[in-house]
Amino acid sequence: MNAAINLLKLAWIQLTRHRVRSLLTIFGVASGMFLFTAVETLQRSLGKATEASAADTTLVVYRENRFCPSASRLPEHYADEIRRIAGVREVIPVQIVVNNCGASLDVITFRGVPDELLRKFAPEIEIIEGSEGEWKRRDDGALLGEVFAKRRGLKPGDRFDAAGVTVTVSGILRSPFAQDNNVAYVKLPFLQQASRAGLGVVTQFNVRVTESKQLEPVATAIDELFRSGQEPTDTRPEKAFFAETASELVELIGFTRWLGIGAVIAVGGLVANALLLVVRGRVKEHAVLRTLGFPGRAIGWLVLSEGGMLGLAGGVVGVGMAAGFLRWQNFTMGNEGQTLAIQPDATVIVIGVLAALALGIFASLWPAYQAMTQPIVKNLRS
Amino acid sequence: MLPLSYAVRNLFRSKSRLLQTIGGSAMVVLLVMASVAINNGMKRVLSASGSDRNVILVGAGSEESIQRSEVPERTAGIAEAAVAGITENLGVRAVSSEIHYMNYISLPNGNRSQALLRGVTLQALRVHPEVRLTAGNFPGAGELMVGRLAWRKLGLAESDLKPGGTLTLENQSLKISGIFAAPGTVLESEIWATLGDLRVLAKRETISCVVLRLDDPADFAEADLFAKQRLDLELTALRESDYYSRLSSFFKPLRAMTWITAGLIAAGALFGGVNTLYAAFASRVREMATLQSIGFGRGALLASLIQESTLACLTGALLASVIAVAFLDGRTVPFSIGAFTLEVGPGVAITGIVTGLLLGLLGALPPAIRCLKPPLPTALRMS
Amino acid sequence: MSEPMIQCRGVSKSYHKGNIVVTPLEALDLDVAKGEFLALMGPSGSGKTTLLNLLSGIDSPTSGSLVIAGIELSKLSRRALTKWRANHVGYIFQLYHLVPVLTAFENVELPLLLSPISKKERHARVETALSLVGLSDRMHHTPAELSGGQEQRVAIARAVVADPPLLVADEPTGDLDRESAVRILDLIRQLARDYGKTIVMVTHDAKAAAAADRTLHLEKGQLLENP
Repeated sequence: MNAAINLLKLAWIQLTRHRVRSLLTIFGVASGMFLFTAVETLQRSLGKATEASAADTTLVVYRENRFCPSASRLPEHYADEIRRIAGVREVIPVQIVVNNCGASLDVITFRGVPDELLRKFAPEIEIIEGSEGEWKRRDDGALLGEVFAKRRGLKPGDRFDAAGVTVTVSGILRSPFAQDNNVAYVKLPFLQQASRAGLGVVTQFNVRVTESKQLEPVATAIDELFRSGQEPTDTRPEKAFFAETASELVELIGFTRWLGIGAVIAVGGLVANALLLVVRGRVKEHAVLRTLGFPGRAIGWLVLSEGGMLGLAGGVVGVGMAAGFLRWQNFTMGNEGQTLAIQPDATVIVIGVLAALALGIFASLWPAYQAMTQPIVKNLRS
Repeated sequence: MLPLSYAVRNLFRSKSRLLQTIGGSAMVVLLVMASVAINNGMKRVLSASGSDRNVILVGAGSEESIQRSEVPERTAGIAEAAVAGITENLGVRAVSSEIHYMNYISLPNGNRSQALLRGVTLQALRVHPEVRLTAGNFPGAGELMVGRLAWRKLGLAESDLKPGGTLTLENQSLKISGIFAAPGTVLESEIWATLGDLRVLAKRETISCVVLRLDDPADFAEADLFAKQRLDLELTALRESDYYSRLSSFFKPLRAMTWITAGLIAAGALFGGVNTLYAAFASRVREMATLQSIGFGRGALLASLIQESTLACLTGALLASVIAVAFLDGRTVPFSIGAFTLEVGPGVAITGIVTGLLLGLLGALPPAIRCLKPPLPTALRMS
Repeated sequence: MSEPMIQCRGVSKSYHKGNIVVTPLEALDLDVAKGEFLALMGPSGSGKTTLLNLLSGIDSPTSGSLVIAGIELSKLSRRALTKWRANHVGYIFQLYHLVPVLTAFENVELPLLLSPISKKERHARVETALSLVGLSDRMHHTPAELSGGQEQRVAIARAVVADPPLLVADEPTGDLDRESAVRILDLIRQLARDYGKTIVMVTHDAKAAAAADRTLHLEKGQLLENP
């Protein structure tokens, strides 16, 4: 055990004293891990938005067979009828206006809600700047989600306009529901008029049920209720709704999986290359160590340690930079009125660093084997 | 100066390293070429899709997305009479009322796919002269005309969409009456139905936009004035070319992602390459010193080392070009509002070659300098 | 007179070079006493280094018996041989073979990294070895900062730090100037006389051989007292 630790220290010394070579490999690994972390973050953010969990209690009622918010028109009075269904805790009508339905990074989403209902519907929302009272007072007031405000550099009192709607920022909110943080909440009547949908018409209803196992029965009940009506509905859990509606986004992010795999292969190749160079250059040195009594596996351990350390160092740099960059930039992707915040979490960081370490070790296996099986006598002579 | 053959022969000293360099640079150049092709392709299809002779009258506030726009039906008639400069042919003015609609369509194989639908009248052909029927007829009631690249957007095989086939929209079966081509534009990925049908299927009382074709692009001012004066119609006038260039900048972040990915991979490959060359040149210090003592100057030796590296990287670039032409050229890539074709043209090729050159130069320069730096007496004694 | 330190009986070594079979050593017999300083001389290719490699356990004889300090080397497994090497032999090379990025101290420390002794004790032994060769003031210099003679002394320190009973030296003064060579030979002789180490040295140089207790000549795979 002692020997193993001593050898680790020796490998570290070799690494730090061949500065240029080590730095080149570390930066190369960092580039690959940056890409890997970005892709992993995308995948995880998407997963969180689309995979059902036991804490889910929100349904989205949408016009059947419609996908762009401007195409879904439901009568506002549906809310009262939905509220009467057993298992429903609260219903909120929402009018959605986006500046563009296509998938991209710079999508602006407005959500028009009745101001007295927002608190009832989502008591978990907290106002971190400005005031809700201010919002209620103004017709054109807007409560901005935290991520949205940061992305656009807006604070209470600012005016901004997009998608044909001009609003004044009344406050900034923070919500445990990811999508709330990426949108601007405005008053329902205001948005209905500004978007020319007309009063009495909304895009969707968000329904909170009493507990997650009520999701399915309530959804079925709602669709049954309006099946033969003027505007039939399609009710799904919020996450399933996201997955189906933002399909373009889902496809785009699915494609990036290949990039992630490519990055991993590239990193592995880099480390393997670097260590093969090391092993080839240290042939005599290793032979001398063998004469000193170092067994073959000690030499192998030295090579593996060096590879693992290079991978780890590169991983820390690459993953750290990617996570920092993503955190700082607050990217939000949008598609068909759905928003996705691209935020790295602790799991992504840990996975990235461990993956880099594992890659470093794995990539060193062949060079280590090469080093271990080099014949002593021949190499002393060279 | 050292002869080129010296550099060539040195390259073959280590076949595995040569292959590694060629492979690595081929990969990087291919990625760069793909990024340029994607960038150009997307820009090209969007700029071709919009003519500067066409003016789109959209609902105010919907300038970024016609799908959201709502324009009163009567607008077409009013604009036709009020706007000067509209192209006229045999007494008929080129004014087209259109509904732009995106929704799921049921396919013959049972799947559903998102489709871009445009509800039009025959007037559309006057306003979009690039549209040509290649098979069948313009749609009548209950019929659809399918763009030549629509199969790509729908995820079908090209042979699945033929005149006579059916597609289902809102539980209505619609027959494919014909296929149209509009080369190089996003229109080719669309499915056209009659304005009347789409009005019913999309349950709209308004249309999406009115498109006017002008004789002289400068007459846009007339259309603009019209839109500003008729406040009751709540319109904005947009040049069609401007609309599409706005869309182009909307997709910029996604294009940037392609570049960043290519950049990261290039950086990784470059780091690996420099590392390899440091090791390779380190074992040649004595050789370089010997040549210097014979009388070759450091500059000549530096040039030779860089020649070696650049030759290998350019070979990789050549390999990448061959792969690009074989596998990328002519490929259609779908994106949200259409599809574009990748073109491996001179611009892409030149970028590839320059990338190869830069890789060779940047990759070899630091190691070569280090190799030539030690003073002669020390260098001659190195192993 | 106690048992000889080294006892070779009928030791032969042959290996393949492409299609040819080369036999540098043929049925060799050799006895070396404990604490003896033996010099081996002979023309290039006579098998001197091969014999040294056999004695130091980095190679195995094709046939014959090789007993060092009572242990039959040819019976040891590769693993056991490696372990034996760590504790029983110190090798001194012509070109020193120090690790360039490590300081003198760290180079001498290398053989001890595999043993379970504590860091404190390890450092103590390294310092002892370095003061023995007279380089205490240069402990933290890298080989690039040392002269040829100093490098060889570090190599010797490395060879003795684990206190092995046997030292083998392959042309230890081959790359040194006259003055440094003399100092190295004095040091080696001191190791034999004052510390009882058994030393087998291969050399081209008759003056170097003169420093030894006995000189043998190796010619065509056979050992001779006088050429």
